[in-house]
Amino acid sequence: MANLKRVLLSDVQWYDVSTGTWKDVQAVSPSTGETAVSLGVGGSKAILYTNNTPINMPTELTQSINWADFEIYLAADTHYSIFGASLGRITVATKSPLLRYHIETTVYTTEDVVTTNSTWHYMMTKASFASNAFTGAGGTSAATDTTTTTSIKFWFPAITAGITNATAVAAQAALLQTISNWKIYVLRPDGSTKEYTPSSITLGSPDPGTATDYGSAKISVSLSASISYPTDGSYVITVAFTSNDQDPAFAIAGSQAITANVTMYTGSTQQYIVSSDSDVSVTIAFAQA
Amino acid sequence: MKLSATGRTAIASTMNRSRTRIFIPEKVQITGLRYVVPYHLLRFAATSATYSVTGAAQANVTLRFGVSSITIIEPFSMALLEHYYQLAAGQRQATSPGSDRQLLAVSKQNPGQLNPDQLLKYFDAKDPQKKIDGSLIIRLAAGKLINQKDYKP
Repeated sequence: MANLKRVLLSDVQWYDVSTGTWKDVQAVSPSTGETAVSLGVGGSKAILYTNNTPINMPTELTQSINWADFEIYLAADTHYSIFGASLGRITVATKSPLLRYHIETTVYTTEDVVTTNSTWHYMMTKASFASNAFTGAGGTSAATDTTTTTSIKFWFPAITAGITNATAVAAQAALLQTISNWKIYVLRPDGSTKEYTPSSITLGSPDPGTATDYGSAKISVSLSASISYPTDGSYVITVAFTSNDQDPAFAIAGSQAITANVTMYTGSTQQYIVSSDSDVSVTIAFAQA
Repeated sequence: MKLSATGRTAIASTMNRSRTRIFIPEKVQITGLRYVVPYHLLRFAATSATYSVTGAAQANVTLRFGVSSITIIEPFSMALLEHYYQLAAGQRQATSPGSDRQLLAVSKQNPGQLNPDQLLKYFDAKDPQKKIDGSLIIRLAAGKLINQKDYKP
């Protein structure tokens, strides 16, 4: 019977947009502070899971790693960060740092058996946006009916096949096109907020140009939803995204403003009605307000 | 680690004409009959989402574990073994991710005439031999393998 003993992330690299190359990730412990530990090819390995008492091989296991405070296998310290201004770390200002790594599994049978999954796995951390990701994206700006199919458009940090591979880009598309991952919040003129789920999602192509605020690339995301505009006035739409890392949803920076100028009607009847019994027929007249 | 009942700890091997090292399963003789000792080779691999996005420095990674088991009774190269592991892992993932659905590919034709992809067509979960859990039984023509260039997927 095989037991799971350890899972490490090996060959960890990050994509440097300025040079257009993958570089080995460097980590530094605050307690040592002076020496960087390479997590790159042939270097040390980040601990995702370890247990001195091996557990029965699970089918699935969810583990958390905080790249600003994590452990390195067989390292002296227990608090390492890959972010920092020196020693080759990823600067804090880097937009949407993109990592890739291999997964190394240690299974104990009669002895340790180490297997490395040679497929690159990609992780975008700290997804970054422009101050208003909706600006210039071309979403609906005006509504003229009380229920209007509305396009909510914004830019999302992205990867391209040139930086990663076609499989990762397909995974990105699948992630962003999962309807349940998105929530739309509409702030109405009266101060109330109503929540919607998009009915469809359209993605553009990952664009590596002019993606300064997003990292290596950005992609246009268009959410379509039937939104109710019960009164004239200004509506503010915001969006939250639940990613596949099982953390709580995070907000897309900024908002989309929609001005509603809807056709309203008022109803009226006779101002005075007389009936000989309890049954009354009322004629209602509608007029555009 | 002992490789067989005979207690040997190394697999006999030789170089073929293409300078590829070929490993040769052990043969034993019991009560006058000759048997090939099968090698049951297990590989455990973890995988997660090919691509994940997180809004913070912290990320949760969901790992899925797969076990690929290959029983091999004919000479093999490491590249060939790796290829069959990839096939076994891919087949399991395509049918039921994360499960231990078994693979059993038994060649009923002349196996030497089949390529690895064709061998997978012999997958049959209802086969009574499914007791050989997780086994992808590969029978390859020894002489063919030894004398030809390694299979390149």
